Amino acid sequence: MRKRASRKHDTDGDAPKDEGVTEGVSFKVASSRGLLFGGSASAIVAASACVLLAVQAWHSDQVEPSLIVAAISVAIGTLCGWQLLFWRFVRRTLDPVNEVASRLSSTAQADELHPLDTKERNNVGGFVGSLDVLVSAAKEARESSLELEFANRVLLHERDRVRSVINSIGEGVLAVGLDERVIFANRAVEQFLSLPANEATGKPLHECVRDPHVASLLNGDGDMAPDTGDGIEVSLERHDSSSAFSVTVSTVTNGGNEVTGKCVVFRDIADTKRAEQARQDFVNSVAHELRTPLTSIKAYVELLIDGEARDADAQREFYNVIYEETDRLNRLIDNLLNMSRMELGTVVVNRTPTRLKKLIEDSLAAVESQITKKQLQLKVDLPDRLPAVEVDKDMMNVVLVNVLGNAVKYTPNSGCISISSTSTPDEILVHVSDTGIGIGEEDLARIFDKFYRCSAKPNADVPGSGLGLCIARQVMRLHGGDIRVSSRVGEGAQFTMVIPRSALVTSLGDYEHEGPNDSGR
Amino acid sequence: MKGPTILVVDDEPYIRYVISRKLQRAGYEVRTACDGVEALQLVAEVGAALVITDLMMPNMDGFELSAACRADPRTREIPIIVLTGSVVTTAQIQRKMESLSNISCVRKPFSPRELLRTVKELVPEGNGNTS
Repeated sequence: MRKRASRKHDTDGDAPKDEGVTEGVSFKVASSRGLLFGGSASAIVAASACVLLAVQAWHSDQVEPSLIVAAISVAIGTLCGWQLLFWRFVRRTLDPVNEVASRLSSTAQADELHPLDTKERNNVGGFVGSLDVLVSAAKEARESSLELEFANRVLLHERDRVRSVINSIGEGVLAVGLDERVIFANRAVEQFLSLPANEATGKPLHECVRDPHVASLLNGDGDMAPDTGDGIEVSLERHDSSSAFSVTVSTVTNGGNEVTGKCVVFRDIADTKRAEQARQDFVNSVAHELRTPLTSIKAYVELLIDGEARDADAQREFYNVIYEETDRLNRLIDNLLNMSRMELGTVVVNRTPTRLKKLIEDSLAAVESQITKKQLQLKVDLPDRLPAVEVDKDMMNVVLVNVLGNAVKYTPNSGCISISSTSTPDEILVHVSDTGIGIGEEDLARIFDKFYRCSAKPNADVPGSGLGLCIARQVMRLHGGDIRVSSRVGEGAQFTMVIPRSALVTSLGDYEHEGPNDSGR
Repeated sequence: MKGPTILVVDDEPYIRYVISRKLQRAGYEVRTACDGVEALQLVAEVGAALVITDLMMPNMDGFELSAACRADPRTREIPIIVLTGSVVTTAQIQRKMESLSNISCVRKPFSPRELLRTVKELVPEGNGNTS
């Protein structure tokens, strides 16, 4: 009994009922015993009366002593007979009751309740039948309490699961009752509240919401009527703290059409807004960058059509501008496509064993005409032996041409450009330095950003899209390397392309050595 | 006699050149600047009958330059032509510049011929330098 009582003590009340049954049985057994002892007592009294009568007769000397002995014998016989009879009766009556009692107590202690099923039911049949009814009622009660307990556990589990799901979502969720008091607030909503989420429960909604404007909107003071329609989105852009969030209010119904409250969802849309802004800026920049060479082309063509360039020199100059600007337009489109492929991750790095020296020489050839035009001095300081690297040849060429092209663009006439290569245990480095205008500290941080162009004044005269270095960095990173820059205003700039040693070609002997002396190996 | 002075502001040298050439041939005096900061200095020092400016420029863009011109009593009355190659629509620019009067918008790529026509409407030739 103790075992089950402790298991059940929080859920049901059938344990005391079992105890009551047992007590009732003990009571009946006790009263049977009373009857037994009462009978015995009356037999003793009857026997004592016989003895007293015998003693009195003895003293009166009128009765035969043999009669007295007989009376005493009768008394003793009566007493013994009665005792025997009574004992048999008591055994017959009490044994089934005792058995019922013991079965009842073992049943009550058992995990499963069964009917009492006693062998002898003749004289206690009705009693056992009634007890069986009680036992089956107790059994039912115990089963339904077990079911309830199970259902309760399932519900608690469900509740915890739903709560943890709502807590784990990024949007702030507030459930509000018809009395405008908060029923539930999840973790993410805390940033929009003036108090911790667990303290918000039970408080009026407008007291919990931090932003007074939102609070008044939710309170129905503003234009928003929260109980109409499925949901209303309020977009609040806070430019002051670079935060933007939207608030959606939807009506909560109880399955039917009865409104039970509302659900307020706060969504942080700062990132979305930023991304949107970045996209807009990008489109704007692209449009501007594409239209700039187009504008030049159109204007110069028009001057030529109008016959404004009469002499051959002026005409050639105009045609040159148109030619250059067409190239620029094409480069820009190439760069845009490259960038787009890299950003989408659709670019395939086609690694082939490539001589680093050959790569550098090819890119130098591409900028040679510009170097000559600006009368720049070119210093090439490469070790006799440069390793072969496994890289995408075309992409690497773009990187080197972009970096060298930049050096040429931003170095005034008669300046100097140098290219060199060194190595560390982990990396192979290619340095491109110039004696150009240099890059300010503020610009250095953003120089690899898309469309970023340095703000130093002489730069305004240099055409550019602000894509070249951005692409260069992306290409180097695709190869597991990087590009670094160091510069000061007025002191030129040094760009370093970092190629990881993992890109080294180790197994191809032909590629390991460079120069005409080694070509015969 | 010198014609009215027009300030051409653009960070693209080819565009500055083509506009200057067209205007000079039409008898205008032309000064050039490659960003808003330089333009503002010039317009305050030398003055101008008209400012033609690009919108997207380093240091100080066309919006800032226009606003700065309007804020200064010396340059408040100077008409401004904004050249723009961005996606921003004329309406958007006008909304952004609604507080600024006397600003017209020419979209890139523009025709130098048409630009000259717009300039002539705003600053008739031979009017002399207003500064």
